Amino acid sequence: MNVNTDNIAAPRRVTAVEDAPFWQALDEGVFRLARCPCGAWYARSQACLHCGSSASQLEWLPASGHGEIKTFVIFDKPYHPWFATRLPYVVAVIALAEGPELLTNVIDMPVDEVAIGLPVEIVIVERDGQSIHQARAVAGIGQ
Amino acid sequence: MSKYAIAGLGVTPQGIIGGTSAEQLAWNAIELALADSGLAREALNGYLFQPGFGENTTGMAASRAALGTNVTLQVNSSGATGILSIASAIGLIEAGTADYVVCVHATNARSQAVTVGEGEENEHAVFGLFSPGAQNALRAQRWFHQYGTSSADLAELAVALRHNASLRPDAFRYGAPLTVDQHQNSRFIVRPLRLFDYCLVTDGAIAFIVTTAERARDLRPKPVSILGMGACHDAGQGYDCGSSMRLGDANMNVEPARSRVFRAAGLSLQDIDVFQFYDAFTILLALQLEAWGLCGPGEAGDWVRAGNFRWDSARPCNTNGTLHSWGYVQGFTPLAEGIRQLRGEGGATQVAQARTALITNVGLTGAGQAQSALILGAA
Repeated sequence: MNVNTDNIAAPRRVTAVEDAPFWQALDEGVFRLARCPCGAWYARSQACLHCGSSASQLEWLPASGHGEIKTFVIFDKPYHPWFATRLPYVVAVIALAEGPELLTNVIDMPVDEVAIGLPVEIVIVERDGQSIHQARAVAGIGQ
Repeated sequence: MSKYAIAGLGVTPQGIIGGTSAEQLAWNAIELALADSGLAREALNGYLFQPGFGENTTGMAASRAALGTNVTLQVNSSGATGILSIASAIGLIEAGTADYVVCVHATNARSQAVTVGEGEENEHAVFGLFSPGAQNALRAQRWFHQYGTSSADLAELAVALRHNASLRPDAFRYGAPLTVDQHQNSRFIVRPLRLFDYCLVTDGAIAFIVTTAERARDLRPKPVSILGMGACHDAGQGYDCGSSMRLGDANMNVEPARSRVFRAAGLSLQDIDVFQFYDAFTILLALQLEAWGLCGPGEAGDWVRAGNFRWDSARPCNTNGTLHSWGYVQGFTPLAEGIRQLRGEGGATQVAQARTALITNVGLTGAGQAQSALILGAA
């Protein structure tokens, strides 16, 4: 398919009141998660699933950014024109060291080498005027 | 709970109909349900509909059919709506608003050339995760990893579904069986899911009439008893950043739908004669077979390979090929086939002495995954 994506905007991130602090931190170059006083971590503001504390008890703190690939899929065709020149690409669920799971892309490696269990680190990248998180294999570990 | 019954069923042709609005298809299904029940149109005083997929519906069909509606209600919990519409209909009757409620869903998505996933602007789009199929592909990849299963296991389910549909003249895939090789050679849609892991997109509509068991006895068809219902919704479990549901789990949690539906019916899994699971994707079906206890975790492929699942097996499931191979009327599809089996109208795939049916519905809503379950009993 011959599609000129130069003028096509990437899909925009969807922010809501419950994850605005997450995205704001990315804009500032910091990967933050929300911690409940009971020790549970979340990637959005919500009532605690473990102790029942209200969302107002959560504190947004810098997080390790370490995790591993829980599962992933590979897209070979674009459902949005911006991806047409970026095929194939991987979308993965990352199980973070703190507990929450994050949907993101695994970048900087061949799609056929992506595997469940692969250790990754979260990196913040600028894409088309917005900061988003991506996952990259941790060098020297895994495959 | 057999205080309520289904007293009429209307099923339009399924497939590529074309030139017909979803509202027209809804109307057609209502007329068929009226004719089936023998009920006078002015007596049908409750109208309940799930909005269309592809082209929306507004409930205007009730007006065109000149129903005697006291109440019109739109319900939507995505793929879980069919069974929940029965619960809602019972609520309307219990509340005294209506006596006979028709529940309808219609779609003309096939002729509208709906391409699922394209142009989605939800919280997943920024990462390029489009379509419910991709969310199910995340589950499949995890299922392969966790249990050492593979796409060939999912192929078994697709083949069995097509087999059941191939024998039913009203199925979109009538006369079109599938082989494991054909499944394995079909193109990837979102890796690791292939074309034949996906259900159909078709045009068609289904309507059924809910009333009290007492009123149902006076109508023409053999009433089908509503023995129990259950539901679950994991809205509280989504803790991804902005995502409304947990993604990529290889196990489905069907509680409390499972315990509630069996408790309400006073039955156990062993008492069920025929199953109709929601099968938008082979992996979604595999996870339900395991979660409902028909086989162990990771065993769905082997279980079907061993001869289970087909309409004439000891464990008959999805006897007309349902969403995968019969027609896509969301939760109404497995529901209609459950009703038909208990009325003895399953044609070439009729299960002998089918007295009880378990039906499931599953939907991805804007806030988590919704499931509903229903046990129906023959009159």
